[in-house]
Amino acid sequence: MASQPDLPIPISYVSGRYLLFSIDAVTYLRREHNICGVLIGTLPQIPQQNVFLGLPLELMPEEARLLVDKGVACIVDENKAHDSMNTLLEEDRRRYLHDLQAQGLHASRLHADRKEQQKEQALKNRLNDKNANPKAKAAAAAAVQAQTPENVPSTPSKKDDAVVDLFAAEDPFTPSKDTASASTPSQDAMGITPATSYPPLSIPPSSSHLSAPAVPPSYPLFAHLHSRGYFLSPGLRFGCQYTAYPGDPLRFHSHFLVVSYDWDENIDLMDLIVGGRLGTGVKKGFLIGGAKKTLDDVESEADRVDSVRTFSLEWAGM
Amino acid sequence: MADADEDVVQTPPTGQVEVDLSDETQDFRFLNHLNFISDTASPSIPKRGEKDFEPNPTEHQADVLSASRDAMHNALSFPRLHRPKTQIIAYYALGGYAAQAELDAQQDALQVKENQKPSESTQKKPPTDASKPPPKPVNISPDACVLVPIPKGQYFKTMGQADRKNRVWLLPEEALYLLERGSLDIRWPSTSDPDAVSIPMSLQAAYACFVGHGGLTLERFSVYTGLKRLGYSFLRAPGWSDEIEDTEEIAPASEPSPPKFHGPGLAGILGSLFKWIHDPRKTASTATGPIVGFGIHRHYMDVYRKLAIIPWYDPVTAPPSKLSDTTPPFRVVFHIYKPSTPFKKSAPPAPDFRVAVVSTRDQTTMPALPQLGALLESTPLDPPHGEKMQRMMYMRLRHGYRNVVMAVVDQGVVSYLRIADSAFGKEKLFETKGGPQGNKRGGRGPGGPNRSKKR
Amino acid sequence: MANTQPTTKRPEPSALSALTSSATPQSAESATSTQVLHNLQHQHLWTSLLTHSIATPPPSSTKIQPQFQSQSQTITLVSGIPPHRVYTHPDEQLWMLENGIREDDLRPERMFVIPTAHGQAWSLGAMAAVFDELPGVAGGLVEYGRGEKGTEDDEMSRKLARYYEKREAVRESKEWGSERLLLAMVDRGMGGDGTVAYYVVQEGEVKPRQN
Repeated sequence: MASQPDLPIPISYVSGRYLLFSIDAVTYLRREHNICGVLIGTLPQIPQQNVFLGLPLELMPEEARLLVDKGVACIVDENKAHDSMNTLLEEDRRRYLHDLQAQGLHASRLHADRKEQQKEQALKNRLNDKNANPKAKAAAAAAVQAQTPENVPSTPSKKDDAVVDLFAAEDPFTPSKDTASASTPSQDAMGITPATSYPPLSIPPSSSHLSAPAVPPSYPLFAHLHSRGYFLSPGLRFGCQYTAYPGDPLRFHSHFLVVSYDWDENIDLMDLIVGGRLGTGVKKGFLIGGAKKTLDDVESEADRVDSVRTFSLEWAGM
Repeated sequence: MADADEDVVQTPPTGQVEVDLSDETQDFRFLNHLNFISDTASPSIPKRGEKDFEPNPTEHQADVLSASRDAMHNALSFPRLHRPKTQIIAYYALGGYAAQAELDAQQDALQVKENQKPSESTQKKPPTDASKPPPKPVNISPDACVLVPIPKGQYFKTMGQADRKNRVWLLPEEALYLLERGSLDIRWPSTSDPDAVSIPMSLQAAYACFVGHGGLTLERFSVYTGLKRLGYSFLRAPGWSDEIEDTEEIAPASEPSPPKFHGPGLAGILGSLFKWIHDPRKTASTATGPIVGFGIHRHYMDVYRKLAIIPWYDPVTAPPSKLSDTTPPFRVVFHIYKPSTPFKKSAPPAPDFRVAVVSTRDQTTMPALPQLGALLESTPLDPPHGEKMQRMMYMRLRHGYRNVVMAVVDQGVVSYLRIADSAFGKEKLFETKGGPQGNKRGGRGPGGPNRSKKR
Repeated sequence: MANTQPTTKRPEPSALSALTSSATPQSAESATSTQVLHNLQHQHLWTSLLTHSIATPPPSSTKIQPQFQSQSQTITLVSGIPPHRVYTHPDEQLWMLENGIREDDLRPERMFVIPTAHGQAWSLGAMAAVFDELPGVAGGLVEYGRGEKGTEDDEMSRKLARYYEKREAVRESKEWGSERLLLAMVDRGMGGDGTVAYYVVQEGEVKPRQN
C-alpha cells in the first residue's frame, strides 16, 4: 500500500480548481506531505450518503501551491490535456478497450464467485439454524454486532483486498479459472469506468504545465503551520480560514481555528473576542498570524513564511 | 459536527445534540464492514468513532492511523463497474442536440432513399418524409451534451430531457453525477464516425469535460451532487446563466402566481404617516409630543397603535425585483425538490427550495443589503401558512414571507444558510394577550434575516 | 401625570466614572488602562497592581490608514497578582497531576494585561511589539504575592522545588507554552456597561486546554 507515485504528481486544473483523481497520489500526499484536501466525489459502493465521500479530491490553491513549490507536484490543464483524446490512434484505443474488457471479465468472475459463496453460506446457515438452539444463534448474532471498528484487525481482511485490488496484476484470492467457469455459466464482461485517463493518455510534457497557483494573502500563515506539521482544512464550518489539526484528521481533533491578518491590517478587537469565544466553546484555540514581511521585501512567497508570527487565544475564564 | 466537542457549537442550549457526520473527516475503517460487491439493499452508515486529541509516539496510535489510511485507500480504490444487465451506455456529444438533430436528418434522408430504392418502380409516392417541414423543436437545453440512446432505469424520471426519438439528453451535472456514482457508462470521444472505436470516459475526463461547460462550476456541482446523494431532485433555475435576458417570466406559469398586492410602498407609508400627524382631531404630535395625545384612552390597544410611528418594511407589498436586479452569485441557480415531493420532469411543481451558490474563494464578503434584498425579492411570495404557523409567532418569523437558501462552498465544504424575509412589523405584539406564543427555542436570534441550517 | 413628578435629577457619577475622569488621563488609552486596572482590583481581586508604559514601533508599511500613522505608540500595560492561577498549560497540568501538585499549592504569580477598548486600532504588529517588549518590563518583577504556601510541609516544598526546576527546564523548549498575556477588552458600545472580557494570548501555536 505504501506506493510511491512518479513525481511530480500532476494536479488537474479544472475550471479554476485543483483536483486529484489518482488514489495513489492522494494516499501518498496524505502520508508523506500532510496534505489532505477535501474528498468531494460520490463513492460508487455507497452513493446515497454524504458521510463518506470519494474521489476526486479537491485541493485548496494553497495546498497545490505548496506542493508545486516543493517540486512534488505540477499543474496540468486537464481540459486541454484531454484534447489529445481526439487524436488518439485507433490502435491505442482498441488496445485500451481490450485491457478494460479483460479486467471487466475478471470482475464478473469475481462477482459470480462471491455470489456462489454467499449462497453456500446461506445454505449452511439454514442448516445450522435448524440444528442449533435459538439462544446460541442470538449470541452469535450479538457477537457480530459487537464488532466495532476498534476490533477490526489493522490489516484489511483478505476479502476486502480482493474487492479493491481488482485491478492488481496478480490477485491471490481469485479462484482458479476452472472452478469459476464450472460453477457459473458463460460470463459477460462488466463495463468499467476508470478513475483516471492515464492511460490511455500519456502524461503531458513538463512544457505544458501551468504556472504555480495564485494564492490568497493567508498563504504564508498556511505554509508556516504546514511546516510545523499541522494538517490544514478549509475553515468555513467554524467561520475561520483554516482549521489546523495536530495530525491526520482521520484520527485527530483539530486544535486551532486559524485566521490570517496582514501585519499592519487593522484588527477589529471584537473579531478576536468572537474567535476566541467560539474556539473555547469547541475546545479549540483561536490562532491568528501573518507574515511580517510583505511581498516587496522578499524574493518569493517562501521567504515570507520565515517571517510569520502567530498568537493563540483562549478565553481566560474570568 | 462529528466531534463530541465540536457538537457544542451547534447544540441549542435546551435541544438535543444533532450530529451531522458529513461535517467531519470520517474514519474509513468503518467501511470495512460493508460488503460492497453483494447487492444487499442500502448498507447502513456506521456510527462515528473516537479520535485522539494529539499524536503521541505510541505504536498503537501509529497502527490505528495506518489502518485508517489503508481503509481509506481501499474504499477510494473501489472501481465503478457496470453489470451487463443493467449497464446504461451514453455518448458524449459536445455539439449537443442541435448537432445531433442535423446528423439525424441526414441519416433519415439516407434511410428514406434506401427504403425507397426497391419500391421505386412500383410505388410512385413522393418522398413525403424528407420534404415534410421539421416538427416543432424539442425543448432541450443547448448545454446538454450527453446522449443516452436507450434510457432505462429509474434515473431518467428526474433527470434528462427526451428528444423525438426517445433518446435522453443529459446536462453536464446530470451526466457527471451519474458517471461518478457508477450508474452511467459514457463513451467518447464524440465523433461523427459511427464506426470509430469509442472508449469509456474516465471520471477524470468527465470532470475535465463537464465542469466548466454550460455554466457548471465545481461549486454548483458540489451542491448538486451533495443533495442528489440525499435524494433531492433538481432543476436549473432561470438565473443559471450569468448573462440573462430579462424576460417577464420571473415566476414560471406552473408556480402559483403570488397574489399581487399593490401596497402603498414607502412613499405611501410616509404619506399616511404625515396625514396622521396632521390630523386636526388628534392632539398628538411626534415632533413636540405627546405622541399618544390627550383625551380618553379606552383601550391600551389604541395607545400602542399610536405609538407605532416607525414605518416598517412589508415584504407582502414590496414590488418583486427582476432577475436582472440580482447580482451573481447572489442569484437563484437551482430549484430543488424534497425526496418526498412528487416530481415530474414534464410538469415540475413549485420548488421546495431556491438555492443560490456562493464560492468563498470568489466572493469573500457578505452580500450587501441591496444584493440580499434583490435576491429575496426575485423569489415568489411564500407567506407562512398552516395551523402551526398561525399559532406560533416565532415560527412565522422564522419562516418569513420570502425565502432563499444560500449554499456557501469553501473548497468542497458546503454550508447551507436559509435566508428569510421576516416581517417583524406584521407581528403586533400588543395584540397578543399574555405575551408572544410559540416555541422559545425556535426563536433563535430575532432581528435581521433569520438564518438557520437547512436539514 | 407630568406635574406630579419631581424634576428628575442627574444621578451621581459612578465610582468608576469618577475614577476615570479624576485620573485626568491624557488619552483614551490610559482611560482604558485605568478602567481595566479598576476591574482587576475590585471585580477579580487582583493585588499589587502596577502599570507599565511601553513604546511600540511605528507600523512597518504605509498600508495602514493615515489616522493611525503615528511615529510610535505608547501602550500602557497593567500587571498584578491574581488570587488564583488564570492559565495552566495542558502539559503542565498533566505533570502537576502526576506529581500531586494542585494549582493552589503554587505561589500566585504576576500576570500582564493589555488593556484595549472596542473600536481601538489593533494589529498583529502591535501584538508582536507588546510581546517583544514584555521581557524588559517583566524582568525586574520577580516577586510573588502574599500567602506563600508549602513552607511548613517538607514534602510539598520538595514537590514544589521539583516543579519550579522543571518549569525552568521547559522554558526554552516552550513545552508548557510561551510568554503569555491577558488581552482585556472594554466594551464601549452604547456607553459601555462596564464589562471587561479577558482572553489569554500566547505567542506561537499553543495547543488548547481540554477542560
